Amino acid sequence: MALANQLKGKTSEERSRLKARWFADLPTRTFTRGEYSVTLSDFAAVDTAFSVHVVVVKDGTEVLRDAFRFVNPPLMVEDGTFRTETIDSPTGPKEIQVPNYREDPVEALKQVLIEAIKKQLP
Amino acid sequence: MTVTTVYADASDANIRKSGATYSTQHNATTANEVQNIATSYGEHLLTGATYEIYVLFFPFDTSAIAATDTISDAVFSFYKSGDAANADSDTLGIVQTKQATWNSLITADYNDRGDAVTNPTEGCTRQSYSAGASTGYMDFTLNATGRGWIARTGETKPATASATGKTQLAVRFGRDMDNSAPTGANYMQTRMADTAGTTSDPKLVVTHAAAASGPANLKTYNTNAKANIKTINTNAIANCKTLNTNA
Repeated sequence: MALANQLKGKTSEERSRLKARWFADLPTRTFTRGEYSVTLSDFAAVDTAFSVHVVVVKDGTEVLRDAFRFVNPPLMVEDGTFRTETIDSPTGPKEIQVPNYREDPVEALKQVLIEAIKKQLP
Repeated sequence: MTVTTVYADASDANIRKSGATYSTQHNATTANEVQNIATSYGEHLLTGATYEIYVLFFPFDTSAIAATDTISDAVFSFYKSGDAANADSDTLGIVQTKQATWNSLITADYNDRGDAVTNPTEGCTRQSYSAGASTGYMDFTLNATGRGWIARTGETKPATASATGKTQLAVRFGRDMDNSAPTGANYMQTRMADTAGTTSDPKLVVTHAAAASGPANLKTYNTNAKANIKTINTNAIANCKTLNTNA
């Protein structure tokens, strides 16, 4: 959790600015997720926002070309394992399965991009 | 056009009020507790002889959106994490909050859950939800009023907000907004933002575009003022750099 530790004690704006710089420095330029092939360009940190230009191809056809920006994006993704926690629920103490996370800004970027891309497509 | 996704600040929280008389709990100006935890509940329920009203507050830093941009669409989403009940077939809605400090919630902010505690101005069509263990994002498409609550660069919304460029929203149960006491259990478990952020954090997705410009020296076209011109010869004015060789 090297990056997450750097966020401790920072203000909301400082955290957003740090994340924007970290994401702008990520090496990811192309990736495929399911039926979508995504090409990224024009990475930039603009104050509290990270911006990127996205071209999406599906079945060999370009379906989206747009600019996306993220403020305070996540750094962590689920690692596929779970732990049991007891929380205070309306029906009393309740045991729930809580996902464990790993710090992986590259994978987090891919996941948030795919989420955003799917919302823009019909 | 730009799509800006803003993830909720880690200060998002659940403000809780509970007690024996519904009107007392509903109309109180101070809550029992503020909970800033990763897995939280929104509640409007009667359990035994106790009423519980738990309101979810979500602050967002939207200052990255230029004040000159026009917002055409905005969707607020939170992640249902698998425990919900809806005895009263209640709904969920969005209000603008007016906490004293945008990213530091206190029990007195319970009274700031909308421009009015009863019949507040709402920022979307209320959403119904199902009881059970389903998980996934729940989306609220903001209406024109709700989009107007999004604070762009330098904007203070509401007017009493502690900082510019910060959008303050809350999720409330419909019966809470209607001042109608619950008859049973109505609640939803949600994932809140945490310090480092996860890919199931609450988020506000805003679609916006810069104002159309066109040739700098253009004042009118066919007697129409430039501000009213959307296209020239089927081309969007933002893409027109010159007209008849004039910039």
